[in-house]
Amino acid sequence: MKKKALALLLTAAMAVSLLTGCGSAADKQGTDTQEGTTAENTNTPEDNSGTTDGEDSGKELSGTLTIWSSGEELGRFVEGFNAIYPNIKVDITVVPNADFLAKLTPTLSSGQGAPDIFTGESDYVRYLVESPYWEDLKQEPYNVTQYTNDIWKYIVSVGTDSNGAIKALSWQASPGSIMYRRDMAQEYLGVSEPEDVAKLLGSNADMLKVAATLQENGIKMFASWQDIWNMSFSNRDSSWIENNTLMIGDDVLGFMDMAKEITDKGYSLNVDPWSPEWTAAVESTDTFCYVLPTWGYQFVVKPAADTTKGKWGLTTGPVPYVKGGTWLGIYKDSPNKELAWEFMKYVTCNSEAQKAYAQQYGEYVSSASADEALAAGEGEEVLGGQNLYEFYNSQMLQIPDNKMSPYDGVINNAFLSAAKAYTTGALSKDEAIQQFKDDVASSYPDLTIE
Amino acid sequence: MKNRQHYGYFFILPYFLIFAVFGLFPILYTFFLSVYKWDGMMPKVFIGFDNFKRLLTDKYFYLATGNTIKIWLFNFIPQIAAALLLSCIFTFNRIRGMKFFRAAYYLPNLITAASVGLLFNLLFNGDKSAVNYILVQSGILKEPFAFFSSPEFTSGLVSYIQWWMWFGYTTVIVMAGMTTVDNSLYEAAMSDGATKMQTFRKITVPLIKPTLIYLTITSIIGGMQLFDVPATLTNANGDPQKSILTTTMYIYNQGFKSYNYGYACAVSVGLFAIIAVLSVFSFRAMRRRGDMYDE
Repeated sequence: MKKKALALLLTAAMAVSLLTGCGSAADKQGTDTQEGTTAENTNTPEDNSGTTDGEDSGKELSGTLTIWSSGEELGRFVEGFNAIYPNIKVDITVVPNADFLAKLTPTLSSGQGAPDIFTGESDYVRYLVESPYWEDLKQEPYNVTQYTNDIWKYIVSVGTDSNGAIKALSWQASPGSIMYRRDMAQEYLGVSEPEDVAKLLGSNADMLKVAATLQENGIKMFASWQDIWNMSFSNRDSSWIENNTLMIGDDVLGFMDMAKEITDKGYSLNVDPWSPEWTAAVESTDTFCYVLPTWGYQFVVKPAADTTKGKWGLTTGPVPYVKGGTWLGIYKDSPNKELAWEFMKYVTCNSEAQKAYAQQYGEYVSSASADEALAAGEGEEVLGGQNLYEFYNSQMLQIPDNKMSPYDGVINNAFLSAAKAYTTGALSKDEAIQQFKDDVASSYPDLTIE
Repeated sequence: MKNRQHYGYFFILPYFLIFAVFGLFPILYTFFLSVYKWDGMMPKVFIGFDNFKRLLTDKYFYLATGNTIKIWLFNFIPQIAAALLLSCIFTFNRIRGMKFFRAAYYLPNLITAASVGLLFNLLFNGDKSAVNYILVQSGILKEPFAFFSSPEFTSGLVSYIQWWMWFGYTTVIVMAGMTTVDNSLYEAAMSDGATKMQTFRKITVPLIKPTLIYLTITSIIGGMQLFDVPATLTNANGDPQKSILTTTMYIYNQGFKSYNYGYACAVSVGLFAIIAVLSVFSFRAMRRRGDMYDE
């Protein structure tokens, strides 16, 4: 039985990352393939080191910086950073997302062995931003506001707490898209260019109309209706929690009805996101689109597209949206704040460094000027020559305000689980809503639930 | 000469040190935390027995415990039956390739739960899963069946996976028990005209009772802590309709997803009590009918 207990521990992490459908799981899955495919790319961040600020003092700073990150990506900045600051050793520990807070919080509350910098994923970043453990970067000596003009507003707003202190920033941004198959659009809808397809998807009702047309031809519109939640989540009337009360608006109930219709009429594959069949739909002959933000392209479509290379396109649905992301901040009692700030500045505020990073790894970044510069570059082969930066830049200007709450990860899971029970007919709508409320009450007993 | 007698303590000291740090301390700390409210970050707040009051009226705790017991029963009974049957076949007959079969039965035990979860996902999850494909193509089903939307199927599948992973282990242990039974007892019974069934019921089973007690108790402890397979099979919340939410998954979700450490500890204490009661109960039940240990 000891063996069982051990297996339990070891699998716990894998279990959760395998089954939670959000950007973090994608990050881990995608990283390996991503590194493999870009190895031949010679454009390393060092090429740009000459133009970064702070280079004069670079050699004077020395020491070791401890960082806890929930993904591998942050480590990709270290090489470029060390080209400017050769005497700062950056020590990054990757803690799986599912265990991240569980490992971090006891360390923070005891103050023993806490890292100088730690990350926070979108599922719980608001929890960390509102807790007192990240430095306020608006204060001396950081004065982060001199850099924030170039960072997409949304990124800054997520990292800003209710008192206006800027606690965290990110190197990435994750505006939304509908990733669709150009060939199927051409064949069954008569158009293939993103602008034309977007016109057909102008409202939820229009999307369902297109789904019906595709259905007649044996094509499933969506890989999973749960993907659409990425879009609806960002466009809710209110955050999940307002004044310590769980908010279930009409828009949320409307989403349940749409999910029910999609399931009843067979417009989706009937699988959860990140299941093997969902991932395999990239290369399918009968699945039309994924409703996913930037990371969906980077971690789902791009690595898997082989025979479908050039057949993908990015377009917009009824509403622009944003979902996911990883933020980072400086621990308030870190003894290495100066070094930590230099690293954080390099990763989140340095347009050149982000541009080099984006060129190498194809990730959409938080610096508006870097994204604009990249929009002028070449397009993606998988997307039939479409430039993803150009597309996402236009989305970034329209995305709604941040509606994140500290408990989004758990609440989203509970909601999707209840919605699914409704779509399969296991529960009535009222029962499903009651189950959702009960689940949230069980997870967060201090919330008011009406 | 006197000093010598203390050396023994040094030799057993490492075990007790490790046990104190990794075994005893966490247990005591769990009891300690169960009377606090703590999210891991903010200071702990002493709330007395509030967590236990909540536990007694928590429908999810009862649901999870019921699920766990159900999954365990539907796995354990077939497991013991299969183990006894296979052990009899292997022990009382000369089977060619017996060692091969024994190893093959044991093999699923070595596969990690994450791989098992993925494997059964490929088999059953979605309209285009392997099993749906076969059933639809062969005309048995007209429409693909949503296996993972059926609570009964999913719960049964977890029992089956547990059976499949553990019946080989149980068989090996039962066989080891059977080989210790003195052959002359069987010979004596045979010459008295006992049938095979009678020798099995009157000789084999009573004599391997210690083995069966051991298996039952370890299986209860392991079964009540079931986590890995149900957590990897669906969304880790025990879907569909929480049919495979086990008590340990509930503890994990309360502790490491919602950060109610205090309440998670209270649920752990509850689980501890259940396991203790079940273990004593099964120990008693097995002993009562036997005569080996009775005075």
